Amino acid sequence: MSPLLIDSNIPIIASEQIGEAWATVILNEVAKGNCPAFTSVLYCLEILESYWQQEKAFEGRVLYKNFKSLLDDQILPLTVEDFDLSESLFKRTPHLPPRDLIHSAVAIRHQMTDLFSIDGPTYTDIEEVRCVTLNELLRQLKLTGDYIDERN
Amino acid sequence: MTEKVYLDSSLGFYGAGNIGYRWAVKVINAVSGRFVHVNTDCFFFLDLMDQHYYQNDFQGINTHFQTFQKILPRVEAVTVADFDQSYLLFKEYPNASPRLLLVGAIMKRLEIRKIVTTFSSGMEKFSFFERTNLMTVLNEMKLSRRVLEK
Repeated sequence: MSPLLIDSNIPIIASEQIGEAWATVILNEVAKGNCPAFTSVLYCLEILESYWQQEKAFEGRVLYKNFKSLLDDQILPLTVEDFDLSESLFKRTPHLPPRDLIHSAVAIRHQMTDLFSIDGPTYTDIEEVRCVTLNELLRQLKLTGDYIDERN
Repeated sequence: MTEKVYLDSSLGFYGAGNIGYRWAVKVINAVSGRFVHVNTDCFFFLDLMDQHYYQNDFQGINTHFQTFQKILPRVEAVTVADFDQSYLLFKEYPNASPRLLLVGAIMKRLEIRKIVTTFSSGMEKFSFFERTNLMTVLNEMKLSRRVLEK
């Protein structure tokens, strides 16, 4: 299966505080090596910022550490070339949030087309990437059942 | 002057209006010409884009991005190693924002002590950098205040 770029919202949803089973199941598959996956330093910053804004900075650091460990350090850096590409995407889709353009640019520069995020509709306007749905991902991983029902 | 300095993104959007914008660009131009090493990190652009986006200033994103892209002398990539370093700083400063700790981590990696920033709240409590304001920089460079008014 194609490698995924995993959004920060997936580990946050899988975290103890929210703890949705479908997100945990997907991340377990990543941990087992069944689902090739990456994230980026910008997503890591978003994890830390999200928890810091809730005055739970330490919990954010723990989640970052666990997420990093789970991905076996497959965390992509952010370079000025990513921002150059995001600027090109911005000219085509100025209505999209800058961070989503940067995430897309990171994926494109690393020859990835698939993102996994709960912000799926955002990415439909960028033709080079697509957001895989949970159903699709579960099918690819040969998982079915309760997780799909829970999400839908 | 051979000292390295780090440019904070607050210089990019300081003032947000036309006067503040021209002022910041002039300072960056002046600093870039005088210091041997001037660095920022690529999140400079992220901060800039975020700021304009949340102000619904889409034209501002484009204009500022292109302007700073041309004049910023050295823009560092941000890596996972910087996040790991920022964790060490977090232990010392648990209330600081993740972004600020990341700036500190990048400055440590680049062995930069001095930061040029217009952001002031609480920065003096961090030992990992020495905050310097724009006028101090200009004085050190023996530039008059008029450089800002040209």
